[in-house]
Amino acid sequence: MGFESFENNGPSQPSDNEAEMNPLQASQLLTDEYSAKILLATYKRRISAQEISQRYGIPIAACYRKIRALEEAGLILCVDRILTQKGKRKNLYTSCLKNAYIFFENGRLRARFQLATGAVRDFGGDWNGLDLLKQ
Amino acid sequence: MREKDISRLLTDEYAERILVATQSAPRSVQEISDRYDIPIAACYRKIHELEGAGFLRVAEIVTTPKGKTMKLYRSLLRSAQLVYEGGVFRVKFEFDYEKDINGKWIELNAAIHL
Repeated sequence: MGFESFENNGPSQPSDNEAEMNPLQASQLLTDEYSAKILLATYKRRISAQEISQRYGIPIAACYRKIRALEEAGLILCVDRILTQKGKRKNLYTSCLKNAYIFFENGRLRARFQLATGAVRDFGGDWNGLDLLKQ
Repeated sequence: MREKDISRLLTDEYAERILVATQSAPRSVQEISDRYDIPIAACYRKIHELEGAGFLRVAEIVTTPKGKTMKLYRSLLRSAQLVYEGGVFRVKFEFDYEKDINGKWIELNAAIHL
């Protein structure tokens, strides 16, 4: 979906289907304050929602909500379920986002996510963002 | 402008929508609020913040049929690039005018941690 159609329709609700995200929704997975913190917290680390919440000062409910959104978008992954000393189950998350590029120019917003698996996901139409980076 | 301020503006839910909304044409606060589903008070606050930071300017002042004056805002941002590589967030802006941060890569991790 291009920027033009987005502008005409207004923002749509976040979708469960990641393929339907528009570039602004994709971009806000990174530019949202809590999401950005969660991506940093889970980078090359396995960490629980409670730990992220405490270390980064994210309210726990918001933390769970953002983790779910990032998980649905395929940017973080639940890698383990461990048993705490109190006998509760705890999910451990890790980031699977390798690189991300968000470009805004000529009124168009485009996003590209490169996942650890090698998969590349583009939002906002065809583009070769890496050429822009070299300029 | 400090990294913390840039990071805060950039990671704001509404700032990005406002910058997208005002890129192609001057828009009123009401129009931005309606089209992009931003509560009107938050929209005013964020627009003033973006104006203060040099991201937006008043492009036109129009008079409505009811005789009220209305400011139309336009983005001064020509391009922005946000890059996340190796666990590091960086951002680069190009503005339509001379600005200290034009074309400079700014690292945001420390600011995001706060």
